This record gives sequence, structure tokens and C-alpha cells, in this order.
Amino acid sequence: MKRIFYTITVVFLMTAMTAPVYGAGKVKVTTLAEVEREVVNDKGEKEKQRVRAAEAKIMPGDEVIFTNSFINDETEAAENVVLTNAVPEHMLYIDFSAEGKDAKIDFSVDGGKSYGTPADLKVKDEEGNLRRAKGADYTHIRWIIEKPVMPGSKGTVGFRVQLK
Amino acid sequence: MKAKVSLLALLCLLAFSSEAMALGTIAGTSISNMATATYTLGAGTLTQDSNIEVLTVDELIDMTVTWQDASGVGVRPGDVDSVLTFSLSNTGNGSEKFNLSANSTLGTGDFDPTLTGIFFDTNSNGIYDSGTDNPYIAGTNDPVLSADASVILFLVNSIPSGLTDGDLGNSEISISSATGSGAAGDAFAGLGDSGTNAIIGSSGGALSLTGAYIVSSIALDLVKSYLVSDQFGGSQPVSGATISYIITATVTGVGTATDLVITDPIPSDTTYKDGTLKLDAAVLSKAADGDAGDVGITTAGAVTVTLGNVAAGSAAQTITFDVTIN
Repeated sequence: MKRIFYTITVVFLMTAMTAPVYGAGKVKVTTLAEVEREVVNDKGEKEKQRVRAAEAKIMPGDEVIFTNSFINDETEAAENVVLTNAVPEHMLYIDFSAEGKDAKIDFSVDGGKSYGTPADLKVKDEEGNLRRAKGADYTHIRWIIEKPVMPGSKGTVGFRVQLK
Repeated sequence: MKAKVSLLALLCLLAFSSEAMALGTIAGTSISNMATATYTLGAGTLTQDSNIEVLTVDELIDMTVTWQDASGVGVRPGDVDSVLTFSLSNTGNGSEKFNLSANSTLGTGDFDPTLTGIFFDTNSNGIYDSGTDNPYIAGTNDPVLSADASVILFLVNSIPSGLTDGDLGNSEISISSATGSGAAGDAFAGLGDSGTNAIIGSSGGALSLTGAYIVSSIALDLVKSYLVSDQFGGSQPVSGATISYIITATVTGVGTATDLVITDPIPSDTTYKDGTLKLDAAVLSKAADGDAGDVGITTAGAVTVTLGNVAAGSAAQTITFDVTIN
């Protein structure tokens, strides 16, 4: 009787420790997709405005801006904060578009298995020879936030893609 | 100097990344994005997914029309079933229905042809076949093209009599998207595929293109036939069998056809049989030399025979050559 009780307790503890924490996030991430559209302002001048992509007209060839905002809702600092974002299907990453304050930005060309800087990434061309990867080859983007994110503090990272 | 070089490299990369897409993402496609954060808090490593942001691709309405003949189609006064060939391509990203119309009373040339109608290439042979190819009837068989699909359209006219050599006659085909047309960027809410918005592309959703006939009382008739003989004494087109092609060229009408050159491609999966190219009784070597023909030199992968200046009414000339099925 005693032995069975112990076993159950151990299993329960292990589950609690390894299960990922969804929903009860300490660092909350929000992603937003926008497009730039030319509008005429009150003065009758043309200006570019960002519109949420879900509410805009989207056509092949359009440039979409993704912004990922994060906030540390906890009472202690979050360290080693890393954000990853797969380049969505039907989209091509636009060279030099990834940005993020205090972030080291890397890219993946192998579905997120490994990451490197643009200068290091290589892919095979049609003849099977290695060539330097272009933005259109990238599958994932990774931002390593180099400073701890203090309680209550926020940050944003982003990138742009072209819809195929 | 160094800065200049890197700026140039940057511009090259930007130009590359914004190049036009041959076929855009299909209208109605939903695209989702999610970011993930991992971080350490005290001793534990945690993972947190973002919301999922979804956008839907709208329908771009766009098309191209090209006149396949590219230059005036030679006709004779009184001809019937004279054909101008056009190709319509749906360069949008959704399935689209197109309305067609034709106008042969443009009054822009030396004469107006008499419109017979627009016809489809019903038997898909690239040539108008009267009685076989179906006429276009507005509202009944408007062509519906999926994204990137094309259709051949024949604009058929008859040619009035009493015209002289060199007279030009024009005929116009007009094509518009059944969803709508307008300025580039105009939108039709909810009228695209899968209930998306339909957005007019650079074609404006409507295009007209004129093709021309040129009266030329000289005409070249080419008739091509073939015979198959297999190595077993039969006529099965099996590997190793020989196909003998016979092309007969006849110039009719009045005048002289100048610099006449006949080119005929060697069919794929066949090999030209040495020493078989003949113009009437004369054997022509395959090299580009003093004789009238060659194989694969003047035109890659084709037989080329130069007939030169041929007077109308002169005897038909016959080109023959054999190929072996690989």
C-alpha cells in the first residue's frame, strides 16, 4: 500500500516539471500581421498607413509586416529569452527585413533544426552545388534577446515577407 | 568605394526578392503565423506560443491576350473562314469566367472583314477546323479559366471581294472578366473565389486586341503526310520503325513567293535517318553546304529546305525525309 502511494507521487511530480506551460505564460507573445496601404489623409495628402492584414485586401506579391510583441508579466526577470517564427507558407522572407532591439538575429534554412547568420547559411542549387542562401530560402527566424527582460518590460521584433 | 559596392549588392538582393511571381498564391488561401518564446525563469525553462494571426489571400483579376499570328494573315479576296488566332491567359490567382466579343467594323484599315464569330479550339490542335471547333455564344459557353490557364480563341472572318494586293483589314477581340473591370486596385467585395474580395489587376479586367489580314493574291499551301513502316514488314509505330514524311509545297495565286524556306522539326524521340532528305528527286546532304537543305544546322532539331523564289502556278515541290523511332 505504501509503495503504490510513492510511485504515484513520483509520476505526478515528473509530469508537473516537464509539461510546457501554455496559457499561464509569464512572457506573453503577441503576433500581428500588417500591410502598408496608401491612404489620403485629412489634408488631402497621400500617406502610407499600416492596416491589419486580416482586414486588408491581400494579393500575390504583397509585402506583409509581422510584428511580435512580448511582455514579461512575472515578478522576476526572464532570462535567455529567444523568439522563433517560422516563415509562413506561401511567403518569402525579404532580405534585411528582420529587426529587434538588443536581439541577435539568426535564420534557418532547414526547418528550424539549425540557425546561422546570412553569411553562413548555404543551400543546394539545382545542380546540387552549395550556394549562399537568400532570404527566399529562409524557413525560420530567431531572435536571441541579449539582455534579461525585466518584470513588466516589453519588446518587439519583426520581419517582412512577400506573398508568393 | 567599399560602401558603393555593398550598396550595389544590397540593391541587387532587393531587386531579386521582389521579382514577379509566375503563379501567385491561390485566392482564398488562409495563411497563419505564430511566434514562440522560450526563456528561463529562475531554474525552469519555459515555452510560450503567441496568438495565431490569420490572413486570407484575395482574388486578383488579371489576364493577358496575345495575337498569335504576330503579323498580317495573308488572305485572298473572297476567302471564307480566314482565321486570326489569339491566346487568352488568366494571370490572376483564382478561377475566372471571361466574356468575349468581336468587332470587325472598325473602319481602320483598307477594308472591313465580315465577322463570322469567335471559335474555340475544340479539338485542341491549334488550327481552326470549320464545323468541328465550337462557336463562342455569349452567356452560354463563356470560358472559365483556372489560375495560370490559357485558351486559344479563333477570330474568324470572311474577306470581301474586289480588293487589291497589300490591302489591310482589321478585326478586334475584346475580353472582360465576368466579375468586373475597372482601374487597377478597384475591388469587388466578396465576389472573389471562396468569398474573398476580387481586386482588379493591371489589365483593368478588360482588354481588346486587334489582329490584321493582308490581302495577298499569292499563297503557299503546305500539305504534310507520313507513312510508318516497321522492321517487321508492317506499319506499327514501334521502336525502330521508320516514319517517312512527305511535305508538298504549292504556290497559288498571282506573282512570286520570294525567299521561301520550309522548316519542319524532327519529332521528339525520333532520329533523322542519314541520306533520306530529298527535294523532289534530288538528295540533300544534312550539312549546310551548296545544296538547298540541311538537318539541324540552320534550325536546331529541324529540317530546313530553301526553295527560294517560287512563281505562283509552278509545279508543286515535294520534300521527303525519314526518321527512326527511338
